[in-house]
Amino acid sequence: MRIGTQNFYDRSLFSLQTRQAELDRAQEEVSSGKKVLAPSDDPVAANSIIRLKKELDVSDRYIKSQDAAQRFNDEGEAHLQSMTTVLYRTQELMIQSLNGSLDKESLAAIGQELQASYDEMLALTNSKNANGDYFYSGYKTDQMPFEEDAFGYAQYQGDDGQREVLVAASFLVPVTDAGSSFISNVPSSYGSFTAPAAASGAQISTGLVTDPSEFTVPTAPASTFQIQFAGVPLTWQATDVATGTLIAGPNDYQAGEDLTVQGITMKTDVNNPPIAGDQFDLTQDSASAPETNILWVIQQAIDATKLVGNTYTSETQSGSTISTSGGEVIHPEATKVADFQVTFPAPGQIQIDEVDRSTIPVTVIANTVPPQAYSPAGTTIAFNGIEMQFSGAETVGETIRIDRPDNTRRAELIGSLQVEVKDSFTNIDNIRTQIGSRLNTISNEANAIESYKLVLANNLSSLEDVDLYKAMTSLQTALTGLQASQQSFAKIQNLSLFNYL
Amino acid sequence: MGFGILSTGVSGLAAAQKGLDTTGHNIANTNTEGFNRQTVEQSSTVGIPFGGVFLGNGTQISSISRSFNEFSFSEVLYNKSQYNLNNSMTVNAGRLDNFLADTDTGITKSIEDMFDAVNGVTEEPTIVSARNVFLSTGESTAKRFNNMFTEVEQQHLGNINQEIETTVAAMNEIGTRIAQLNGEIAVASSVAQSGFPPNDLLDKRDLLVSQLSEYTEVNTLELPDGTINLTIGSGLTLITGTFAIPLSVERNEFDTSTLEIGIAPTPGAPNKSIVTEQIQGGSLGGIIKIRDELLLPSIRDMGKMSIAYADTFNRQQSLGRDLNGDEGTNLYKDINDPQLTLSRTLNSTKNPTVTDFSVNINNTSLLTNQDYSMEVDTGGNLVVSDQDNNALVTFTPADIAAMSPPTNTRMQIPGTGIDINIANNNLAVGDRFLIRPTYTGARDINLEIDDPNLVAAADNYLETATPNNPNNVEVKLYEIEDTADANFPNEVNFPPPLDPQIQIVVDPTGTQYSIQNSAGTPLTAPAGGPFNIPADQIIDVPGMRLELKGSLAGNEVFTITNQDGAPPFDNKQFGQGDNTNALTMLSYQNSKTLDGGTNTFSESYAELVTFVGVITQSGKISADSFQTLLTGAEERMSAVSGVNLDEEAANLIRYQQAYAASARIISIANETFDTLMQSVR
Repeated sequence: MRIGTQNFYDRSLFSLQTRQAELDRAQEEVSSGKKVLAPSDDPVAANSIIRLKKELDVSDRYIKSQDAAQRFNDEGEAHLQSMTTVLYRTQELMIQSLNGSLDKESLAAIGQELQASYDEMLALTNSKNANGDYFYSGYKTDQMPFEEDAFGYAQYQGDDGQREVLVAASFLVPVTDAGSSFISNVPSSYGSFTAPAAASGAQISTGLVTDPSEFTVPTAPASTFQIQFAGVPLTWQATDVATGTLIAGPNDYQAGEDLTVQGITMKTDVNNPPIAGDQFDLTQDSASAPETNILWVIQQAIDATKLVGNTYTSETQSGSTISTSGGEVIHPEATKVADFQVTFPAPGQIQIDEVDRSTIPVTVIANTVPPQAYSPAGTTIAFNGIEMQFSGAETVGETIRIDRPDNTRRAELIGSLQVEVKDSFTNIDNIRTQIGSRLNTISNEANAIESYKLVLANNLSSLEDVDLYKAMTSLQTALTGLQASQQSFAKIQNLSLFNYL
Repeated sequence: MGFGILSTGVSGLAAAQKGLDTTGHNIANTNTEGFNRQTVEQSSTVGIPFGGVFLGNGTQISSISRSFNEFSFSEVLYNKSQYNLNNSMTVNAGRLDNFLADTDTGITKSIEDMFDAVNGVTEEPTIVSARNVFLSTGESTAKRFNNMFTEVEQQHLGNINQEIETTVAAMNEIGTRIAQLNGEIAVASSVAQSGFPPNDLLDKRDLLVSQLSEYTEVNTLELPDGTINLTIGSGLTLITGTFAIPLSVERNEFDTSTLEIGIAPTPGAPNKSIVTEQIQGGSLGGIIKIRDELLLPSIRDMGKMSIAYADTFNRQQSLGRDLNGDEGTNLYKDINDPQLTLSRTLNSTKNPTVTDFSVNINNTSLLTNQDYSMEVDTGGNLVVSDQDNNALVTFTPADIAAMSPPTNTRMQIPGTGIDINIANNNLAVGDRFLIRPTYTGARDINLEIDDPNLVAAADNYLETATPNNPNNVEVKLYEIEDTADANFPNEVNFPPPLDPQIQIVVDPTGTQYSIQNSAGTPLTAPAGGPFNIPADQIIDVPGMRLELKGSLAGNEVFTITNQDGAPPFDNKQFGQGDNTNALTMLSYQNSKTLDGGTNTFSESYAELVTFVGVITQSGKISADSFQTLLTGAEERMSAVSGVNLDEEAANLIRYQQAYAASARIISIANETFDTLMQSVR
């Protein structure tokens, strides 16, 4: 067969160019370390490479998020630890205050220490992070979570929001805890009571139980105690709306005085006191599951330290002309702790009954002192191992309260507060446990992501990276091939018949 | 007689001389492109009868022909045009291939960075620096899309347009010369003796045909008078006799920046018919194929991605509250900005009057990378079809009237994610339009927020509930469009004793829904419905759109309540530390929001890159294989037609010896004559 001379040269040239292109490609692979330089080199691999690179990016981001989540949770936990310490101290102080032989000064000292605990706890609940955001106010991070209202009661101003951060695919981890999830939701048998402001704009504070033995909830369906102010001089009384029963008063009112209804005490504002005609409808907050606030618990403990006294106390109604004295325990062995009620069934007659005030209306348990003669000049009555003197003009139908000694009341109150402190511990512990498990999860995820990244990097490398030894061999082969082409071309291009003619 | 010998010798000399000339011609043209070697054929002359005896009379040249194999030549033409087709496809596709994959110019990195920035906001929603990073990343992503559009549309398409124009000019030039040569060959063939074709003219013409085949696939038909007719594609005549019909570059009837190839149907006619589909093979066919099958769809794909991306972030912004507690505003320019909606439909230049359509994109997850065509048929119906000419929907004249002002009802085009109405109606029978929903998407995306406080990281204040939901259909807010709507759930529009709430009631068949207030009273018409539930189950309610995920059993009741008012409707008051909306934005990185719910953003982009990569790779493979075929065909042709210098050297010697021998005959004849003269003195 024939070979055209030009074609012969063309083919040699083409083969040289091909070798050169191969050499070029091999060199590029060796120097870049990659065998997929453009998607067209391996389109299917290019697709996977794009996805793998994205997964690696995302995994790196998850690692950063995990760090952030861990940081947030660590900070939150540190504060909770401090809160627990404060509560321990509070509990100790409360146990100390139970001692019946403490006098007023010692109790005042305990009260001051409790106040210090309260301040510390308040500061902890209102702690901020490095950005100036409040930790425990839910989503309202610019709002102080626990602000004291006009009556000194800390009220929760935040919301229930819990911020989350994505630490792995579809895996959200909370990084904040709202104050409403552990501070202001301590389960309580008594809870708190609030009433809207009266027509004159006067307000009364949140009502907290100071005398558990008298506590009862308002009767359904109205479930409201109504406090009415009337008269000059100003007096107040309270009724149970559902039954219409009078449960407290009428009592004289001085501006700024506390009001106690069924063992629930409300403070009034001395600068904006209620006036005649004001009414307050008192209802229990979250009646189905009453709650209290850790700060209120400490506040109540402080108030409890002001309850000193081992004599029975008495209180007359407004307008009464009776004056009382005494109340010391004369015969301790004959005394039992109880509340009493003095009535005047008929002119010149006085009667004392033991009552249970935790019902509406008050229940008479026993008739301790049957009706006996009463002289306005002064009558001394001994009952239940105590002795009291009454004098003054009696009014038929009026009642005088006789309450158990303040020491006893203090003991009972602290007793119920201790249950609430225990529940507060539980609440804080719950959150700490949750934080602990979050941190655990985060570190598990961190490990998982690291292993995952390793797998991804391996896959990426197997798709994209060139085997360096193979590439070096190809480079050498291509080099040799090119040299061989060049040398053989040089050798044969000289051959022509014309050289011999 | 000496006379006989003399003339025989002379004929031998002449023949040898012609042989030497031809060999010399071959040697001189050994490197001439397209040269076919010429060979001299000798034949003996008929003998003269001399007294009953036939004496041979010498030789004559019967032909000088070129060694030319028709079939080899056709093989070369075919492979050349196929090779050039694939080569130009590979070169142009490769440009786009490298561009898309490069981490500096490609889009994946930007979108990943964007979600990283969103993550930063979820970690620290209250600090301004995280929000600033979000905004600056958002801007650079938008600019990345803009750059990609500019690069591909202006550079790549611009290059292609230029190449089309220069190629057509070159083809016309070659055509003119071939036609000229046809004339010369016809003249030369008619005057030449048979056996002596005008070889060099033929060579020239064949070379021109071969050059033309680089641009497009050609077919030739040889006519008896020696001229050829040249056709391209499926029988489009370019050259007949001495007449070359030029190709022209025309503008596409819809998009004036797209070029088409035109040809005059009859010589000298002013209106050209468009023949672009008939250009097969060759580099012209290659660049047209790449433009229509790769570049334009890629631009539309990038547009689709950028529109879906902007829409996702815009909708999620509307579903959140910013750092000031206000409803979030659009992060990017609204994809249904009035200017944009009016620019998505192109009128054909042949339409007597211009009709303007407004095209809304209402569901970006259904968007495709296709264009849609519309035509007004003889019945006055407006037929919307896809690229394969399947009719998607036919709008009757009644529909058209509803779509036109003043009602301007929007009608959905099923399966496309778009709906249209008519801004001004000048429709006439035969009008044609092209809808390009996503073409300019990557150009139009633009960041609109510059205040970091306007990033909506916090959740909205609406609460959805499902009082009656037997099939557990998921109810999600899709978009909040207009909080000023007269029936938007709030305390002003629904004062006490009503709740600030609207209720959506599905009819028993599960195909329609109506809207009522919390007391069960339907809203005043037309807001109360009933309305049809569209196929993608994204329904319009006052001021908002809701997505219903799942199959409806019928009689479902859904409620939407405003929880940012007075108690007891105050569950969702604003808090600065709320990062719920930002977390939802983050979830879009891994959720399948594109291509009918089958792809995430990066998966959709990876598909585009793979698509381009596959076309480039198969172009490379085809180009390589056709290169091999072409080399083989050229070798075979050269085996017949190529000059072999060794052979020509041997021929030189042969003819030189023949010349010397013939010269000797003449001198012998002279001596014989002398001897005869001597003997008769």
